[in-house]
Amino acid sequence: MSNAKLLTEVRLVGRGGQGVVTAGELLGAAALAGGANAQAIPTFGPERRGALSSCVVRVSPEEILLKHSVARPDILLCLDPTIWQVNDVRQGLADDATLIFNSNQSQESLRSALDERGFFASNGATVFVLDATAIALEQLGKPITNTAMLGAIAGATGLISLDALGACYRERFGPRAEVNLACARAAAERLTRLPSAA
Amino acid sequence: MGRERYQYFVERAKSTLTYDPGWSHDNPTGTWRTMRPIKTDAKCTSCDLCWLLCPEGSVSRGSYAIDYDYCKGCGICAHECRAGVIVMEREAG
Amino acid sequence: MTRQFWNGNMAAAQAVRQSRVEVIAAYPITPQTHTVEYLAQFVADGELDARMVKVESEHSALSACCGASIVGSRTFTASCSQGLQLMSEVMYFASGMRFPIVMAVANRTLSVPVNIWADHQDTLVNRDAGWIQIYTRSVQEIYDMMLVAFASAEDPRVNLPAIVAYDGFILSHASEPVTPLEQSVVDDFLPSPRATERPLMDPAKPQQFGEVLFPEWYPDFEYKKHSALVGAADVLTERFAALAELSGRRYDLVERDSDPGAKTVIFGIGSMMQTARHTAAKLREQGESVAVVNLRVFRPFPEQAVAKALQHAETVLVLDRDIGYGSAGMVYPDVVRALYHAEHRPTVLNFIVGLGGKDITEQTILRSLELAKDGYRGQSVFWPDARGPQEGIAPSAQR
Repeated sequence: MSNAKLLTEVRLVGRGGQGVVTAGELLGAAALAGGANAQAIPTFGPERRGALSSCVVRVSPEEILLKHSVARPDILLCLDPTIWQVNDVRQGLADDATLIFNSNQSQESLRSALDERGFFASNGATVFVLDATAIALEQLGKPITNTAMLGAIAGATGLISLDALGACYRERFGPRAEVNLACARAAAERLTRLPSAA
Repeated sequence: MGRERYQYFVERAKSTLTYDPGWSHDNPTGTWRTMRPIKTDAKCTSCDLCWLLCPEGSVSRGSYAIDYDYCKGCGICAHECRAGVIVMEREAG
Repeated sequence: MTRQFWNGNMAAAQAVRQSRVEVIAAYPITPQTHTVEYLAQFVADGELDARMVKVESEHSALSACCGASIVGSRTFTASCSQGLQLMSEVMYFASGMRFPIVMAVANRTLSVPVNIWADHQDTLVNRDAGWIQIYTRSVQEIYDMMLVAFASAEDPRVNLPAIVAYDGFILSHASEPVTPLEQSVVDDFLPSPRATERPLMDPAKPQQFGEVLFPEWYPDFEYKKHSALVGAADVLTERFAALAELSGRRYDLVERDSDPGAKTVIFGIGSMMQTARHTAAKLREQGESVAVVNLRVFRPFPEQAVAKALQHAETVLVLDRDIGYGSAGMVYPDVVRALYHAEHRPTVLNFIVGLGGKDITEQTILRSLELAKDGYRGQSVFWPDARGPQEGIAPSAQR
């Protein structure tokens, strides 16, 4: 069915308290502002600060009928530097997925840590990395990386635009929108692509 | 409670859908710090403030060693340290 | 109005705000909590002129709503799961007193084991409380059905409380596009709360309501209550038509997806019916004869409409996101009743799916269709996504 191709699924993962759910809502809203249909389904457990928190966002030009959080993500966005090392966040990941990590490790050590956990198994994945925590600490003074990481999606994939993101930030954050948008812009600029398998 | 007696309760509990009784000691909570407290060479005065004020009980009295398995990197110890012994650094991740 | 990106609880709260509700009493329970938090914010911000009554339990919440309703206030509450069970006693009182209270339920299963996720156990066990029960499949539908609920419940031909049910988390916490109506349109759609024709209490002249009724007259009273609920189907249909006129969004008591001649029909309530539609559309592209029929209104049960929608089917799969322990799912018996007198009675099988929030995916639907291929072989109830039947545990429990 053509619908399957048109549908983009994004999985956002982080830890409770980092704004994963808000990020999912903002991503969906930005896609909506760009004229697409969108749906953001957060997955919840008994909430605890620091525990795995994730959200599935679906974007499609057509009406989205699927009502479950089991996804085959085309994009994986890791807000937290270590969550993917302690929880398996790869379930259903598409072979040619785009993976975006927040890390301040060297490319080599990140690469071997990712290899160790099978993130390059398919060789088809495109991996981006940026130090979103540093951006958040610079701009917000807090290690809340969600608004920066959305900028990374805009920079890496074109699923949403920085303009659409800006409009959503203004509606959501009011006077705090500009500083969050600065996070997103910085993230889109500082994003680097990890070379594919040697 | 003896080990045997403890196991008895664990087995009993399993049959009624209860997990083994866990406690936070088994569950290191220090894996997701953004900032890490580091002790520098400055002269510690043994004032006990870091030990007293650490909300996680991650500072040992006397040695003032930091238990990184449970330290969440809140920075209270560094903030309160009068002698400037403890500083916060970005965690690698 | 422009398209919004709201979660289900926000859609419910916005519809309640636009309905100009006057009294809200509720007690927080996951996953319903946000609905009431949003409303409290609207009241605090002066966007809604309502009285928020703080209560110590769900039992008190619905009791407070009854007190507000008896003097004619437009009244709202929200709950789910154990909270709804605690309300249960007062639910019968509310319908017996003919209070048009509207309740949002973010469906969540019942303990134990403790589980905060979606299934329809909580509302379906209250199916006989005399309330209208409307089920929804998307966030837009939550918004629309809240308005329909107020309009229908307060209709003088009905005067009964109504539940708008939406799956916890999968709808309550999921954000989707919603196109709300303008305030003036909502105002026209809903009756003025002051125009009610039901007997009200004047606090200045106290009267006694809800007193004893002796056996001689009790059946008459119950018949009237039952008839009012049965008759609510016509009022709901009218309100659906009126809403379609204003919004372009069409709803019905029973909604047929496509292909009226399909041999196999998937039937049920709630958000899983969207996934079923998605799956059926794919199967139709592969040449299979599969359609989906959604039951929007479970109480009153639209017997004739269900029979009509299923008249050409050879096999009907009733999906139940609930279990009537020791019997079958709770939607299933009514469907069988509706089809018993049909000219061509199809095979009707029951599938218990998605309990306690287990994701209902395309695989769940496909597995159900697979199990239905053999028809009735002495077994009418299947558990396609439970491990027990597959692993051969207690097969006698499935008979």
